[in-house]
Amino acid sequence: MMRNVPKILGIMTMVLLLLVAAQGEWHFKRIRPLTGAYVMDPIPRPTLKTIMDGSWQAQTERYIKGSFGFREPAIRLYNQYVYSCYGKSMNKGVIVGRDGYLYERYFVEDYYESRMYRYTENPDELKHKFEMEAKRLAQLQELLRERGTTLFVVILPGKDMLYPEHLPPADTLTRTPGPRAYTEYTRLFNQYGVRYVDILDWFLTIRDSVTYDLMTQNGTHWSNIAATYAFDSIMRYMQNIGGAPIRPVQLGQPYYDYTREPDNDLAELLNLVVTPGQPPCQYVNVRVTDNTQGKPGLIVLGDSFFWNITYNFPLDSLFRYTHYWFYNNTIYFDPEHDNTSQLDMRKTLDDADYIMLSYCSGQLYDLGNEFIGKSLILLLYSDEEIQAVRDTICAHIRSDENWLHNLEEKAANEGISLDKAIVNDANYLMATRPEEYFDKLNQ
Amino acid sequence: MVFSSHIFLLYFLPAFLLLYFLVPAKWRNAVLLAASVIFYAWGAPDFVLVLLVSTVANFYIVKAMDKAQSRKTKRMWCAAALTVSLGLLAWFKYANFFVDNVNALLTSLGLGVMGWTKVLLPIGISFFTFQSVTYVVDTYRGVNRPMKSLVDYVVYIIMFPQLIAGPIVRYNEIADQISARRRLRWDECLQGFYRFVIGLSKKVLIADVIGRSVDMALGGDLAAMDTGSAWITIAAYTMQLYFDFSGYSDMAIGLGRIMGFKFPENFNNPYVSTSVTEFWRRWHITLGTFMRNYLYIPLGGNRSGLWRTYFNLWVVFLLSGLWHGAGWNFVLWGAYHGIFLVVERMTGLNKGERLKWLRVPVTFVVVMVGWALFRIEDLGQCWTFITRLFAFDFTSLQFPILDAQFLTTLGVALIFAFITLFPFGRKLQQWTFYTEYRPAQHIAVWAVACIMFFFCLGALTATDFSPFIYFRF
Repeated sequence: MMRNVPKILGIMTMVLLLLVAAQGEWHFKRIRPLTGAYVMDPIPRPTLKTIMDGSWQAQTERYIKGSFGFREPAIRLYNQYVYSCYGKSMNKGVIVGRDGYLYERYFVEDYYESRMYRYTENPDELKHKFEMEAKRLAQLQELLRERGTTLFVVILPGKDMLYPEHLPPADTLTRTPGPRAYTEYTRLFNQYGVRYVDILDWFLTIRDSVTYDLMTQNGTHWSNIAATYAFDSIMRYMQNIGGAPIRPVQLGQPYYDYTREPDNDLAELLNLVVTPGQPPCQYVNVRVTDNTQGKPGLIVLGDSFFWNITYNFPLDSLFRYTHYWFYNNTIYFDPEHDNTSQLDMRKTLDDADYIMLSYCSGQLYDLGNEFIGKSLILLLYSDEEIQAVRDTICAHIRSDENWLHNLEEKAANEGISLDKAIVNDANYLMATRPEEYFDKLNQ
Repeated sequence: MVFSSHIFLLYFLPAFLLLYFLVPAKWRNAVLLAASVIFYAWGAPDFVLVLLVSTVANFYIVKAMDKAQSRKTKRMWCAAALTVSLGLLAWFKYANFFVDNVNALLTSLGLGVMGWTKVLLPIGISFFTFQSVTYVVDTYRGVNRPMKSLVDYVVYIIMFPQLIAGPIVRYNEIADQISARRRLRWDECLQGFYRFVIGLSKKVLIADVIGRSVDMALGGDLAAMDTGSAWITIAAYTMQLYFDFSGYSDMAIGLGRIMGFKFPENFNNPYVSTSVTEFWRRWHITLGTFMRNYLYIPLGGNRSGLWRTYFNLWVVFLLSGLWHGAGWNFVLWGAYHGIFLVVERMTGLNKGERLKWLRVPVTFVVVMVGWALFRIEDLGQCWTFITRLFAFDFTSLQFPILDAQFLTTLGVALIFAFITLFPFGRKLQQWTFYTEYRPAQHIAVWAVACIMFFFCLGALTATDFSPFIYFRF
């Protein structure tokens, strides 16, 4: 038996290697999936051209890297080694701060050097964009108010600004901080009379006095309990500025419970063998106390912070509908539409009682995600007038050889017609620089 | 295809080994040949035909050379074979360099530049060219008879374990193994597997980790680098290069052993050398051997007087530098080493072990400074970096030098690079590489090797896996 040990081990090595390939193909063993969203490479189809230029090989290698058997435990094992031995995250989007606090990278970027550099190198250009956006927002608020719809902004806390003492040192700081969206917008909102709620400012005033975490050590969003208390206040604010009554709610006593989504979301995103535990969290239950009143319609447009509200509030009992427009793109909780591009926007705006633009401080750079400009145009102009402007822009694009040439390449890459690409560019310009094409926006 | 890729580790290698072990022994070379063609074509489909045609041409030219009766005809065929091999190397590797320099000269003279389409460099050409040179020359010298089988010859030239980066196996070292390998031994296969995993770990867990920080450090403003950071950076690159290259050689030797080949060693703890001369006996050994046998000795070696010996040495290292890359920095690097070799020979410092504890660190520093020439291709940037090494400006160490994983890995690399200075290290090396394990030892080492293999797989995958909480738009 002992004499055969090398032979047995050799055969076992082959079996193990083949087992990995088999698991990649047939997934016979159920494995804890990795946390987070990522794009899986499709199975590449070879052609003579793609083989000869090496692109098929490169795609195949990416595909195998993303799908081989036992990939998940292999990644977790190495991530655990790096995290445990060096206190580092292998996920480039997650940064381990002081005292084990976890931060999403873009919050750290926002704190140290401002995210403006993702948009422009020119601070004045960004300041101008903020100013135009704030003016348009004030105009849109007024137009919608006249049509019976209350539009308002909720500024939510970014972890960098609420808990800066746990941020990692600014090792990678290479640029002079530029204008910060939060600072600029709060000033501009006051200047132009935009209705908004600054939850970040409120949290900063109470962060040292409350007995619960406003944002958890291992999470990137506001904590469930903080979100619950905050939304209770936001609903009161809505009623005060809107008038459409909202059913009263009662909050119970806080209690400790197992960690719920997303209070540990960044820790989960580390994809370790043993996920770091979140220190005990408090939660609070919400109960609607009067079911006799009517239910207004609510549209929430913004980032992922609103998920916490959907987990903790009986929204169906409070609102006729709560449509969640995720970054003004995918729609959640709307049985009829998946995407905002499918909507009859004028009708949708008129039907809603409340529209809440909800962004955390680090996401304010994309406030509205083009919703503000597009909506204003729809409310101020007829379809014929908008088409006329679009036609003018398209004609301009067609007369510009360089532009047209670039669009030809873009259309070929995206597999769309040149006409479609031209219209897409025209629509983009109308949404992002509406003041250049629509005079009424400047009034 | 590279050894540290998922497709090689998880699909190509298992499928090849399965087939290789299952077919009858007489078919193994054919399986190895087919696998090698696929292996090469995967990364360079355009060049596989060039490789095969030149290899086949060489086979028949050498056959003709062997049959030739007169010495003159033999020499003519030998020259033809070398022209095919070295001509391809010259064209693919040095044509761009030549034209760039001619154009630079023409520009400086105020003349127009030559039109030129860049030639792409086929991977591994420097290595398989040298292997074919050893075949031609060894046959010409009568060291070996030419191979009878074309398949066997092509296997020798393009065998995938050493095709891309060596070791450069001389024809006479492996001729018998190709035509008549002894039957497979499981303990040899296992030893080969262990060696492969050691190489993979050196590459993935040490060289790649250190390399990421080195790239960041050298990608920054070199003029602003403080002296401490500069020395740590170059020490790190010194370790990265060693663990990367020797790791690759370990993988190649291990794969060869699994298949029943015994490839020559390519590294022997080069950083414990007491002189630059010794360093070159321990670093890339197969290249050194090739240069000695096929360049230094034909140039006259040390048989033509002292000054001619110095000249030959220096020329060999100049050309060795050029072999490493078509760039002036490589030429300078070769010349730099050549100067030290000549000086050591003049002063007798190339012999003996006197003052070992002083000479080892001095040699290490000389080699490290040389690596700066090797790594930084822009000569201006290179000079800036070298001046920072000796600027004595110890202000503050900066990221990425202060990264804990980098520093720890560098520490581990330094320990392993110098461990054989001590008896314990030499024992460990002997036990790891040259001991026939007992069954119980096999079980323990095999378990560790399997875990390390899986761990390396994790490192290769996790490095650029960064999912988002949600998709953003």
